[in-house]
Amino acid sequence: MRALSRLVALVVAASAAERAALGEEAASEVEIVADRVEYDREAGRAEFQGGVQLRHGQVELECDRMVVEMGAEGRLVTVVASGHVRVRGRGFDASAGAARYEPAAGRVLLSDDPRVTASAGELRGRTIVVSLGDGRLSVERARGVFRVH
Amino acid sequence: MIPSGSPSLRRLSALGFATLCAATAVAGCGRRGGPPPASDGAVLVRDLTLEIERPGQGRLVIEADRARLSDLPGRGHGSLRGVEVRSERDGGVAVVRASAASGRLDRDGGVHLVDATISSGQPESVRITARNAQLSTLARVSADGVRARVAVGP
Repeated sequence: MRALSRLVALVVAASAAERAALGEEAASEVEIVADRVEYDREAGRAEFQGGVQLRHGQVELECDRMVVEMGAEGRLVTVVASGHVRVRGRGFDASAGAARYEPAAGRVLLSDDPRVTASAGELRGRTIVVSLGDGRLSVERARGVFRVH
Repeated sequence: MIPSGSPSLRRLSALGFATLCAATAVAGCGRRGGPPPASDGAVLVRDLTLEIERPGQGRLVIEADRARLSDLPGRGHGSLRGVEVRSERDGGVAVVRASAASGRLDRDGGVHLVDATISSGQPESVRITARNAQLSTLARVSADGVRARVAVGP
């Protein structure tokens, strides 16, 4: 339990700078590179496929397929990623089969064999929620491997 | 006023479209003296404006500095240079805009663009650059070789 707290604490510490960065990014843009896109303006939906890479401030997300959902103003609300998902932020590196990223909320929900790696070790679970704003990890059915000094 | 004898009107009406054809384009009244015929029967057009309307679902407005159109009178298809495209809702509000140095007008009324820049939103919330892109009257874009920027917000 102490080790788990240590991992979480490290993520929190690493997220301090990220929190500042995200504060600036909250009103800005997400950049996405992909092989293909199907964009439906009226439905407020864009589906990217093939070597998808998203960058938003300090957050980088890679996957095979990504669906971007937009609000009434055409602004991005939610990103749903699937297939070889990898998320990197300052102080952590995560992988999963699927992920849901809410940029405005600064939150990533990882599922399908998710794992988060930080300098203290690796944490796995059924689902992992990374709160980028305050650095918290919420893990369902957590299993961790930690380095002992 | 729609030129009722327009070949595009006949063609697209048959597919469920109503088409307006600017006088400079397929109707054959080029601003600079009319469309000269190409050797293979294609028609070379300057300052093309073509509007493809799907009632209740908006319309696609295609403008090109130059066009080479085949199958006229008939379906009307061919290559485009200096292309600007707008997908408009009923009422004339543009929901998607696109531009490219070159493109192609398809037999079905869609338009393909090469090295395209696409944007939507007012103010602009989505910007896409793509190696190839296809636009339809339903404000749908299919593209490959994509780099997109999307504004974040509720």
